[in-house]
Amino acid sequence: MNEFFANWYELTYFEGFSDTMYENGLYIPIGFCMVLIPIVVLTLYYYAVNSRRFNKWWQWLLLVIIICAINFGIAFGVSYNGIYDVFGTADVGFPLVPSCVGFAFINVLWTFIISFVWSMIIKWGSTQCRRTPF
Amino acid sequence: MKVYVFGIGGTGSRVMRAVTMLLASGVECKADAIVPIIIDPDAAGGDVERAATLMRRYGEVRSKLDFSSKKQNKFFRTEIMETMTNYRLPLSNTEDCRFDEYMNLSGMSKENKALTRLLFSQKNLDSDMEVGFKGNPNVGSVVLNQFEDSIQFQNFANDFTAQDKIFIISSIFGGTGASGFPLLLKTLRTSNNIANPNLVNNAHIGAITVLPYFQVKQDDESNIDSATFVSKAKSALSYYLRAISRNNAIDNLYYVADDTRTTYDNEEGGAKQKNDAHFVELISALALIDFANAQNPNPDRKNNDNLRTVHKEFGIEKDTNEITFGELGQKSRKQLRKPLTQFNLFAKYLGEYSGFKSQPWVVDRGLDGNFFDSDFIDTLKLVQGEYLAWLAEMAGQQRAFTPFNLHRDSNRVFDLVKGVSPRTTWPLFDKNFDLFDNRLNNTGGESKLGEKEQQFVELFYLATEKLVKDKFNID
Repeated sequence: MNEFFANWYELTYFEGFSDTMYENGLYIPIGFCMVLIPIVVLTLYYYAVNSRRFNKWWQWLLLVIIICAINFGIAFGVSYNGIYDVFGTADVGFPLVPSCVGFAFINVLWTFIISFVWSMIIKWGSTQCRRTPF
Repeated sequence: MKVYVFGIGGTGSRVMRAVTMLLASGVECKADAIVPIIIDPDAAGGDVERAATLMRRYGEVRSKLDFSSKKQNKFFRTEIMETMTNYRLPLSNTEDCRFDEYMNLSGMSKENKALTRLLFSQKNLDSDMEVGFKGNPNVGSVVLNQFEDSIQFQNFANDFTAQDKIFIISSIFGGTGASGFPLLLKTLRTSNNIANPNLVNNAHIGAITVLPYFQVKQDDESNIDSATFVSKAKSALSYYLRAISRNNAIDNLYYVADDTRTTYDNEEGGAKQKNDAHFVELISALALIDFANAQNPNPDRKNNDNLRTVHKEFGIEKDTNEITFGELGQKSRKQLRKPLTQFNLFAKYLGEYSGFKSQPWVVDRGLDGNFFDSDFIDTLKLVQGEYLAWLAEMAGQQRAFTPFNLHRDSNRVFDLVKGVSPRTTWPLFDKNFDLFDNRLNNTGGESKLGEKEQQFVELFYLATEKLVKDKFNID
C-alpha cells in the first residue's frame, strides 16, 4: 500500500521529504484517509441525508471543501509529527513545514479528485441529489 | 358516453364554472365528455363570459395531456367539448329588440292585442331583452320557444347517440332559467322537428332546479327584486309538479336551496352581472356528476307505462355558516376532499414558488426556461388562479364553503386543510416547498414518459397524491 500511495503523492517530489515519508510508511494512513473520508462522507450525503434542502451545487462544493480541509489537516499533522518523531527534532536537513504544507496541498488535490469521481459514480442512485453538483 | 349540459341563464353559467373547477381538480365523472350548451340571451353577461373563458382554457390545457390507460393523472381528465361558438346556443331577435316588437304586437289583430295586454304588463312589453329577461319568466317563456328553429340545436340532436345523456341546469327564481327549463324539456321530450327524434325524446334526462340562495340590494330603478324570488319559486314549483314531476317527463330531478343568503349588488345583466361563487353552485355541479354516474330509472321509456322520476336534495351534516370537509356527508367528503386538496397544492406550488429550476425532477425531464414560459404553463396558471379565486369567493359568502386556509405563507404550506393538522413526515430536513420538491424528485415511472406537458401534469398528480396521503392521511 505504501508503494501504491507513493505513486500518487510523488508525482511532485520533495527533496528529502518524500524519501523520509516513504521509508517510514507514512503515506499509508494519510492515503487511506484521503480515499475513505470522501467516500464515506459523500455516500452519507447522497444516500442517508439525501435531502432536497442540501442538493444545491454550492452545498456540495462546501462539503467537498470541508472534506479537503480535513484531509489537509490530516496530511500536514501526520507528516509533520511522523517526521519529527523519526528525527526527534524539527531540524531535519530539509524545510519541514513548507514540505508538509506542499504535501498537504497535494493531498487536497487528490481528495478533490476522489470526491468528484465518487460523486459522479454514486449520485445517480440518489433521489434528491442525482443532479448535484450537476 | 357524453352528457349534454344545458346551462340556462346566469345560474347555469355559474354552475358550469363550478363543474369546470371540479373536473380540473380530478373529481371522478363517469362521462367521457361534458358538452356545455349555454342558453342566455345576455351575450355580454359577466357570468357567461367567465364560464366560457374558463372552459376554453380547460380545453387548451387538456389538449396537451394523454389519458391512455397507463396514465394515472386525473386532473382535467373529463373532456369539456366546445360544439358551439363560446359554448352558447345563440338566440335570435333578442338584441336591439323590445318584447312587443319581438311578438309583433303592432301587427296583431285587435283581439290578440287585447289578450296580449292582458297577459303582459306595459313594462314587460316595453322591456328590451339585450341583457335577458330581468327576472320575468313570462317574457322568457315566449322568447325561448325557438329551440327547434336553431341550427345549433339541430346539430346537437344530430350528434346525439343512444348512450348519451342530457342535463339541464337552471334557477327557478330568475327569468331565463325559470322559463327555459320547462320549454327545453318539452322540446326534448316531444319535438319531432329535430334530428334523431326517437333518441332525443327517450333520452336519459336530468335537471337541477336551483331555488333562491342569494338576494340583491333593493333598487327601485331595477327590474330585479329579490323580495319576489320566493313567490316566483313557489309559483314555478307548482307548475313543475303538474307539468314535469307528475307526468314523469324527467328521469332525475335535483333540488338545492339555501335560506342563508348573501346580498349582491343589483345588476340586471351585462358584464357587471358576475356574482361571486357560492357553495350552492358547487352542490349543483355535484348533482351533474351524480347524474352522469347514475343509472337511468326509465331505460325503456317509450315502452314503459310505469315511468318514475328520482328526486334528490342535498344536505350537510351540520347547519353551520362555515362549511369545511368535516360538515359534508361521507359521500360528498370522499368525492371532494382529495381532488380539491391535490389541485390546491398544485396551484400553490406553481403560483407561489420559483426555487425549483435546478431540481432533479426539472432537469430529468428537460423542462427548461422555454417550457416554463410556454402558453401551456401560462394557461394552466390562469386556470389555477381562477380555481383559487373560486375557493376564495365561496369562503367569503354568508354560508361559506371554507375547507382550506387560503394564505400565501411559504413557511406554512401544509397548514392547508381546516380541521386537519399536518403530520410530521420523513425526511425531517425537508419542510414546506422543500418537502414538495422531495416528493416530486421521488416520482418516476409514467411521469417520465410522453410529451413534456403530459409528464409535468402526471408528475404533479402523483406527487400531490402522495403528499395528501402523507400529510393529511387523505386517500
